Amino acid sequence: MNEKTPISHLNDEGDDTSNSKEDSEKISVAQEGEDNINDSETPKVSNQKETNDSETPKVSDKKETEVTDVIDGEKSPGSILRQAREKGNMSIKHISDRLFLDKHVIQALEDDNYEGLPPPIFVRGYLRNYAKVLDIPEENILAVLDQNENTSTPSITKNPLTPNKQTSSNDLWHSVSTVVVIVTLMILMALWQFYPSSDDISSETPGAINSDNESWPSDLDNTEINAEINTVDETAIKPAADNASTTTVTTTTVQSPPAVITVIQQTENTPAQVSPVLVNEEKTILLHFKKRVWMRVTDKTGKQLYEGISKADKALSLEGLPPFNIKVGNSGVDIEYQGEIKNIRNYPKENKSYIIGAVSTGE
Amino acid sequence: MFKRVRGLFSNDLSIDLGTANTLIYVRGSGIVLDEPSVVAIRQRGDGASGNSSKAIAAVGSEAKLMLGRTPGHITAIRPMKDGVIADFTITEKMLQYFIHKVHDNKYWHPSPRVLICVPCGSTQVERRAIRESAAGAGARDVYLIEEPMAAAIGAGMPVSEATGSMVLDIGGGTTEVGILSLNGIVYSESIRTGGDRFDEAIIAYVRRHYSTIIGEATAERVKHDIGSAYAGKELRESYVRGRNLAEGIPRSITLNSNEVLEALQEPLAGIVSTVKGALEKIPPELGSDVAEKGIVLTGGGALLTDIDRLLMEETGLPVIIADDPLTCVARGGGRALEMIEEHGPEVFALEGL
Repeated sequence: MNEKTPISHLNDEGDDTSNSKEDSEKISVAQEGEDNINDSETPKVSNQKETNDSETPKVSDKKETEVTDVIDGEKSPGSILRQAREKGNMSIKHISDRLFLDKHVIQALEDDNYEGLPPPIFVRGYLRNYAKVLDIPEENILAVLDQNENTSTPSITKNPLTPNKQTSSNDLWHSVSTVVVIVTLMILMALWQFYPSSDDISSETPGAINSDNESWPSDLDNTEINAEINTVDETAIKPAADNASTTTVTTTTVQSPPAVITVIQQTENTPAQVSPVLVNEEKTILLHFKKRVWMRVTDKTGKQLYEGISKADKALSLEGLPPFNIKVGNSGVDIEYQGEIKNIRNYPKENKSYIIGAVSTGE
Repeated sequence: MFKRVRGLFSNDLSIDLGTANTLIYVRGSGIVLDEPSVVAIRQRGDGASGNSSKAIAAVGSEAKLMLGRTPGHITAIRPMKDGVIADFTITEKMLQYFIHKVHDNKYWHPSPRVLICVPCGSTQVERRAIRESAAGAGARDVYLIEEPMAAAIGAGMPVSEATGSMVLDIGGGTTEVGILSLNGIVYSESIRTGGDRFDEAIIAYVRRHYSTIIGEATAERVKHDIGSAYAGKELRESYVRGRNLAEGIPRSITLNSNEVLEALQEPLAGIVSTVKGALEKIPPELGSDVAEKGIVLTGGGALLTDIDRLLMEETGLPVIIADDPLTCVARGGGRALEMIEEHGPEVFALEGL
């Protein structure tokens, strides 16, 4: 219906094109161009007045308004609808019955007064329905509405949301930081892999165990230590008479600090015994390998006694000045020193190396 | 823990997992995916030896073209039925495919926070199935929101105010009616009537009156072309081809809009009675709010010609169609996600926290 009417209208003007829509638009644009701004109203008015046909002007009129709105933005949706309604000889009552809306709502829509009306979405819907009733393409009305006022959707909460941008993998900052993190990790991995390789592994485990013993002094540990102290006391009293064996006592008790203290106290009681220890006397240390292990042994002077990998089930005898400083790859080695065989882990540890026969010098 | 890190690199998604179409809304980018919820599965290996395995042949619009036109080793199925999951694994695969499609990131597996819209009438079991499907598809957190709520937010209704807003969402599988106020649902009702039922009704009608069987895709096309919910001024016609039952030969028949309208009477009556039932049950204050402002239509069913006119005449209330009704639910879900980000999840009575 809409499509057909303009043709007759255009035919009246002597234009026999079939593409009514586009052409009528062109014509109106052309008119605008000719008449310029001061005459922008005239074609519309003349259309209203001179045509008696009720259908024709509605469409052409709308075309006009669309164009003029693009240029001036002065024609409002309400006035378009009101004009179309008056062309159709329809009353507000009729429209309100068709749309099931109150008359004052229709009135407000035509006056473009949206204050008392529900939120924009409803206004848009009403306008759309209104346009549908009048057979006007609804897109035009809504386009005009959008142009006239930026109808925004109501905020869901009291404070309007500011949609903060979410981080995405495309952000430059993110990709850069990712690369940095990955490269750092790779470097650390490489260091961990190629730096004194076996050393670190071994040094980790005994350290952890030692700290465990210190931080969790269970009853069992306490009794052990006490027992040790007792034995130390006994042994320490004996060496009071026997100077030479003092070092034995100290080395055996190095393991637990409290025991060391008692030993020291004991040795203080016998000051005469200290001097023989300080004598720079070469001692023999015997290493029993249980596993294949890398180790480096230095003595007090820093002289390197041994470095290399030893096979399992071998023994190695070294001579040097105590204390011996032993770095090992793993703890699969027993140390025989001063006639006692102990696993290397039972000796105190300093800077990732075990120290054998240290207390005497510490004195 | 690692998921959390990955989450930094993935966007929040709002998914309208519909029976007919799945839409994905990404915060900040809008609707990024709108595809039919159809999966085509290829049977690999020979069935005889028993070592056949299934593989996804196509998902989305590509798979939809295959519906009803597949050879023996491919089956095109719609894993959602009546708004809920009918085939769990396939739905999971489909979601996975869609989520990956949205995240075109080669280095990370996406691990987004996902908000999924569920029909308000769905049971605990159905919700759990959806939640687990999404989790299986790689979602970090899954929130579920009821469809009327999402639809109302997406349509731009003032749901946070102390005023009643009524929304009618006619989807592919379900029709949801909800009356909302203060960010919550006062009353909601869901019936398993939707676009699919319309298609089925058309198929049944053509079969009864023309002894001709037409396919679902054809019925859908007829619905789009000449379907209407209210007798219009002009009579429109459409040609369809189907298999004549008596002759067993494909024949061409002509359907007009009045016939389609007649065919659609039954599902439409169901929707109308649901709306009326809802209006009966809500408190009078909310009823007056609804009567003043009107009912908002969303969902694909809102595109059926003159459905607003039908509801207006039946209820005597103003009925308006939301802008872009197809994407309302997904957009509303996206806005709900923004709200969760801003105000915490307790803004809505959300599930899955």
